[in-house]
Amino acid sequence: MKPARIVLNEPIAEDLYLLEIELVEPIDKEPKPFQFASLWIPRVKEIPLSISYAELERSRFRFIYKLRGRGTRALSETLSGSFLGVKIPLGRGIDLRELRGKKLLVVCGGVGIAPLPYLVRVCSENGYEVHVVCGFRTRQGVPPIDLVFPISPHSVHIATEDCSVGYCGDALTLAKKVSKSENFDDLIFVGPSFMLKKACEEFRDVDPMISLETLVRCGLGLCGSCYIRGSTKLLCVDGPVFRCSEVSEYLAGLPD
Amino acid sequence: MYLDIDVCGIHLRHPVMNASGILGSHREHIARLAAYGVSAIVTKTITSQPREGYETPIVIELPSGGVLNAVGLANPGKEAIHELVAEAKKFGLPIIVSIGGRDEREFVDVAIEAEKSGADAIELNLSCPHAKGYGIEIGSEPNIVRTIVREVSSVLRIPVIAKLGICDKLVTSASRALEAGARALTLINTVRAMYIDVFSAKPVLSNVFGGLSGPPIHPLAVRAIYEVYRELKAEIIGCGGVYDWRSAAEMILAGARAVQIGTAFIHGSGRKVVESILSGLREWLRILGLKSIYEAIGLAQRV
Ligand SMILES: Cc1cc2nc3c(=O)[nH]c(=O)nc-3n(C[C@H](O)[C@H](O)[C@H](O)COP(=O)(O)OP(=O)(O)OC[C@H]3O[C@@H](n4cnc5c(N)ncnc54)[C@H](O)[C@@H]3O)c2cc1C
Ligand SMILES: Cc1cc2nc3c(=O)[nH]c(=O)nc-3n(C[C@H](O)[C@H](O)[C@H](O)COP(=O)(O)O)c2cc1C
Ligand code: FES
Repeated sequence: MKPARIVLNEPIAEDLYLLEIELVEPIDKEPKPFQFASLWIPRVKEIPLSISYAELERSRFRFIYKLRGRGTRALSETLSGSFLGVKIPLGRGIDLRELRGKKLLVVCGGVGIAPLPYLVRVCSENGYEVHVVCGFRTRQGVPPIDLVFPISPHSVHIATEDCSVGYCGDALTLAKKVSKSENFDDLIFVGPSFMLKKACEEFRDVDPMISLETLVRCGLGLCGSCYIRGSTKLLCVDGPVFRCSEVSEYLAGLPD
Repeated sequence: MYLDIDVCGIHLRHPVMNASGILGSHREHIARLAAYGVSAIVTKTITSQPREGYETPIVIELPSGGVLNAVGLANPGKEAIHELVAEAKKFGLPIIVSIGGRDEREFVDVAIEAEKSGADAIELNLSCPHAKGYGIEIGSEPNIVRTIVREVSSVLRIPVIAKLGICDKLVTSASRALEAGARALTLINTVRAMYIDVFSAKPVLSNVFGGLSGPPIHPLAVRAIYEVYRELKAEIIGCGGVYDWRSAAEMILAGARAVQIGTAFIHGSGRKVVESILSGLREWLRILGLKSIYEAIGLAQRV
């Protein structure tokens, strides 16, 4: 658990916060896209959050989180200047070399947008193109895109289910439209589990990548709480991103 | 060089198994441990009823090395034993069911379930240092150890292993456990400890106190094994801070015939750790001119 200080913690959309922390002591290993951290709010609990952006030279890390329950609520009430503990980086994340090419379509629902800014940074440094499709329920849920992405993706397509901003519909429907009009080498989906399940069904022929969430308790591969049903994988060691085909038994067990 | 060894009558392909509480509570965990290459599976400590365990943080890595945990005996309860045993059998592996209880009734209740499910042995957790009413709270009292081991042994046919931890009367407790019918001892569990974050000025574990594991406790474990073996010549499974072949070999020289590994399996490193321990042990036996693990057990007692 590394000590860190909060430098920024503010709302950027309805129930959505942007958090920036600075580690007290630097770490030297560049995180990989989709790796995550576990943030300890002293005497409250730990919360696993995706690394949204990292500037290693300044020991700064950003997170985007949605208010859910006791932990995220307590985090939102924690002031700049306060200290937290962080386990970072956790998980395997993704290695750009395992992608099937350099032109990616990344589809997110709601707070699923969190890990994308760092992915975009690493991709753009390595000559990869990231096109983003993001769906939200309402206009109030849409964060300012420029603020979320310090480095801009190649393109950003927004969908809202109440039709107030951008495409009228959900992220998956828009993603299908976008992927029909242009060719992409690989697809990644980040969002609620029903969306991931549906994405794996509707894009079955391309076997996309999906970023899963399971209960992360230790984050160290010891307690086993993050196991992925029907597989030998642990999310905190091998995840959170998998190909649909690697976690098919888990997906089959999810509600539609 | 063969590394096979018998522990309380169970034949093991080699002496390295996992320690209780490292995975071992769901079917999927068993398959993962099998992939690590352990010679036997030890389950998470199972109690009669399911337990949620404590709020996070439950496990932390310490800056000084080692790990501190207070998981709170989170487990799916005795109903899950059947599935765990069946899964281990699929891989052809012996399975030792770790059992927790507040009194002899709870131990017996879970132990019977384990035997019915086809477990190869049970390990009584008489040593967890941070779950109220369980573990070391009962295991540090030699007479309670005797009662629990006796009650459990008298109703089971499969072997009973007593897992004991660091306490003042360790040798006496070990001796009582053996008199009462334990066929082997696992030494040791984690050691009660705590960690304070100096910036928030707060203890980090939600339970405040936890158990220390990993390399920092290895010398304590070696000492415990040495003392108990010297006095009792018991069958011992060494546990505590094993992370490479040397730390395993040291335990064998002190008197252990097998070892369990917990913390060194951190970050999913199980397979690599097991493989390197096994190849290291083979080479070590060869250098010492020993034909098997048996010839190395307790060798350091001859001083
Ligand atoms: C790898 C990973 C990355 C994540 N990234 C983000 C992110 O970038 N932004 C974001 O807002 N959320 C993210 N989450 C989800 C986030 O961890 C939960 O929203 C948070 O833990 C809720 O805590 P709470 O106390 O506020 O809510 P609670 O009332 O405790 O729980 C609300 C819901 O959150 C989920 N949850 C609770 N505890 C955990 C836990 N320990 N592990 C996983 N899920 C839990 C459960 O679905 C639960 O029903 C991520 C989860 C994982 C596993
Ligand atoms: C996360 C974690 C959970 C544990 N759970 C249990 C348990 O349920 N029952 C038990 O007897 N020991 C438990 N232990 C203790 C280990 O089995 C082992 O005795 C101890 O960790 C020392 O070995 P090590 O240094 O190789 O980890 C646990 C240890 C850890 C780190
Ligand atoms: S959270 Fe992954 S093993 Fe504990």
